[in-house]
Amino acid sequence: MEDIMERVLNKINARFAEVRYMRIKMNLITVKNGVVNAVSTTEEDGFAVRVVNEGIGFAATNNLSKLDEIAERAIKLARNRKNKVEFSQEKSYEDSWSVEEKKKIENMDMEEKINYLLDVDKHLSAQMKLQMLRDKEIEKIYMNSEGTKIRAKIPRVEYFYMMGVMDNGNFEQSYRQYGISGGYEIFDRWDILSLLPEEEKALKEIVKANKSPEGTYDLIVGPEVAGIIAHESCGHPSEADRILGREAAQAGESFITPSKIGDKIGSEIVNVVDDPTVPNSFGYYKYDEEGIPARRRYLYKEGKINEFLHNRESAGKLGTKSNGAARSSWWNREPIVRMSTTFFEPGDYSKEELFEDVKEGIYMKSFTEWNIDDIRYNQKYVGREAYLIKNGEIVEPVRRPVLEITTPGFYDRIDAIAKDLEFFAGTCGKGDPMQGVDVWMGGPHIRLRGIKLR
Amino acid sequence: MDLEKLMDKAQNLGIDEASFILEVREKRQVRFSNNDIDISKLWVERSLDVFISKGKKVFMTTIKNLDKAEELLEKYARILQNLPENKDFYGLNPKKQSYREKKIDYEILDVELEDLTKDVIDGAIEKGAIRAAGVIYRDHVKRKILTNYNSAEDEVANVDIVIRAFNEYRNAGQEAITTAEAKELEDARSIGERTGVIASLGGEPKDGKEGKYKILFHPLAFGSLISYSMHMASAFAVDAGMSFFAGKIGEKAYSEKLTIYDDPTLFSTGYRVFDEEATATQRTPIVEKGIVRNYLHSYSTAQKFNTKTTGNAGIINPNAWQPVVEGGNKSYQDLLSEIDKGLFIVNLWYTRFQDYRNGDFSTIPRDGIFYIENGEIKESWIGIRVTENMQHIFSSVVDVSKEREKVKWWDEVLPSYLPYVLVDGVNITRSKL
Repeated sequence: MEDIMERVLNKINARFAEVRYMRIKMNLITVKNGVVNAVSTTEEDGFAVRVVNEGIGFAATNNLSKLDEIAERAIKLARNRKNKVEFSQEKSYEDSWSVEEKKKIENMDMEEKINYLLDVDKHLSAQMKLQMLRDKEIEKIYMNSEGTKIRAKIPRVEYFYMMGVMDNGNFEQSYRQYGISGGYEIFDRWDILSLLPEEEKALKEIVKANKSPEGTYDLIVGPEVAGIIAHESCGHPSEADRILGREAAQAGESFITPSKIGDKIGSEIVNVVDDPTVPNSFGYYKYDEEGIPARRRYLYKEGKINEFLHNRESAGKLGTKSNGAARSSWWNREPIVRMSTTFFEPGDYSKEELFEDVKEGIYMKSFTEWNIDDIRYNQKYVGREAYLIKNGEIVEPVRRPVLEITTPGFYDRIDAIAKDLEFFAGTCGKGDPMQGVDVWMGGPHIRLRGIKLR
Repeated sequence: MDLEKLMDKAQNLGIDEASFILEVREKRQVRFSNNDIDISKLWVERSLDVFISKGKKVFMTTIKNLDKAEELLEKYARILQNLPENKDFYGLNPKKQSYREKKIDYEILDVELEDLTKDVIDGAIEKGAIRAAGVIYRDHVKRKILTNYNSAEDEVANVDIVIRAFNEYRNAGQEAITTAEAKELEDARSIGERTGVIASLGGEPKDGKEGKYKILFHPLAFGSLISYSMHMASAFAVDAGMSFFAGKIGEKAYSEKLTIYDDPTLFSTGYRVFDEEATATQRTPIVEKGIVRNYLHSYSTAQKFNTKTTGNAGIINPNAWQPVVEGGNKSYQDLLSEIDKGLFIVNLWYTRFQDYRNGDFSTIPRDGIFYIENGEIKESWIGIRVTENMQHIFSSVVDVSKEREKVKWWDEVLPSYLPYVLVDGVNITRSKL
């Protein structure tokens, strides 16, 4: 395969060119209310050629016999731009990397997977139950005209559930995604057979609970809520392609502008990082999709806007270097600026200390509905599992507290961050055509003072 | 690729029923921002969708390496043998079908995307925008299907144009149109012009205020609500307990001004001759004058619900092809003039549900949020959210316009044909800090 790719690459006369090959083996099982609804096994591979001259041309095919043709067409497509595009200058690398599977995907047969899901289902009595289990084995070869050549093998496993309980006409739903880069040791890390009955029990209490009170309260958010907030209101607005307007007609732009590096965004105890190198994280990678080594990035540091996420295109436009944030979700997608694992760094407090100092507050342990505007400034999170706190103690469950807040409003009111740290998996959507990439998001328990809730 | 040969092989392998869909696609894209092209893309792809069953055991996949199709089918047949039964599966549609003629405007394949890009950007700038971003797609797909009972062929082509234009205060206007007819692209510049006008109308936007408002939704905005709702009109979602339509067949649940069809017979981007089990597609009323008429069905889900297929397979999970909302008698200007104090919203994004069963959700207006007084635009707003219940929205439709637009957009808007929709008492919230 590498010979073919090199031959194609060598024939391209351009300022910059790359050829990417990806092969994916994937298994998917869906169980709905105890019935195995769908089973699928997919094997596919394909090539993408990207050429940079005046503009950028990109062509992809899963038909090997068309590879030369699409390379020629990519060269022609790269002519279409008024202003010449400049990629950042980077070193070249040659390396091979892979992620270890403790329990190999290839050794887990379909029957065993199905039985696991059916077993989980039997442990639940919720009226609505949907489970999905997906594993992927991805092989990639990347090479570019500057001599970079990266080979990678990444196994990933993810489990998703959605559940709904009804009580006296009321309905409460929950869903969650667990995922790792690795094999079926995922179920050693997260014991779904225990976690889901606990979730169901909590839902059954919440569905009977009173609506969360409206007013101004101290708020403690759990790691799951901290994670989505880090992802939505720090990770996304720090993506340099948004900042530069390249996603304007799709996933939107950013309230951050290039000149805002160093501006205050919130409390000085706030540090939010994006780190593709967290071992076994769902979005783990050693090199990004442009062959740039991965590293930890401090997006918000000590309460200030600190660093943007870059690929070579955005870094070139802003006169800096890529920090290895280029990802493409599939063989037929261009590499664009993406997050990997985005999280609040833990602080100094114990979780108990956060609660002890709350006279009257709300603990939002997890979330259900959420959204954020397209510059990542106005956002909303509705609590799923949530509790009223009085004098440092959890008093009772409350239903659907609503936090509707601006980004600086949230980060500014943080006054204590706990030592704990937990990650949750997600599929982040961006790009056009849509690219769903595997990510983690997370954080510790975080306390905010004087927050208006409804 | 010889689908008949593959079907013979499937039967020799002990497979009871099979559906094979061969798809050959060439797709082009131009993405642009800051008034210049960012990237031009091309996809040349082929694939074979495979659905096989033995009794109530089912397996589905997509084969991308067609040269290995027969070999892979053997592997999948072995997997099928060992699967548990899907008691919700009732077989493929055995009835012999007759199909509409395929319909394609080949002239659309000659449209130059780079020229369209220049036209729409120029149009936006001429009308006062300072920068524009967007995407233009051209898709050309040939499809061939073979099941144990039917076979058919189809070929479709279409163009999508999305442009978002900004004024100096970052106020935006957006158009996201889709068409299968080249003649509808002859004046592409006007698409850009409309976004420029909307962006310029905004001036310097003010913080919006909470409250209940009469709102005129642009077709693009209402398209977002309809697209999410169509997912819930699928019999799969109803059966799973994840739909606010559940239990409402025959019920006058919504405003009599609201009529929603799934209509793949309308010649546009969602035009389709057959579904994924070779059932001929049809125009299906979902809501007719406020009465819930149908869910979207495959043969199998229809059997479970004791009704007839609507030609919307997905065999396991039926889906809408092209939502259409019936137009009314008044112009959208007339509808605007009926607003004493209210809003005109061009687009919505990030729609999320906290309760699929009852329809509680929120979504964020963008690309033109105008406060209206006495039928006139007074100012543009930012920072608001529609915090609502979908059934309340559908019940509160006051009227719909006679003008309709073919829309499709990145954020979950299916190719749709929709009017402007006036809704009363819509709840608006905003951030508190």
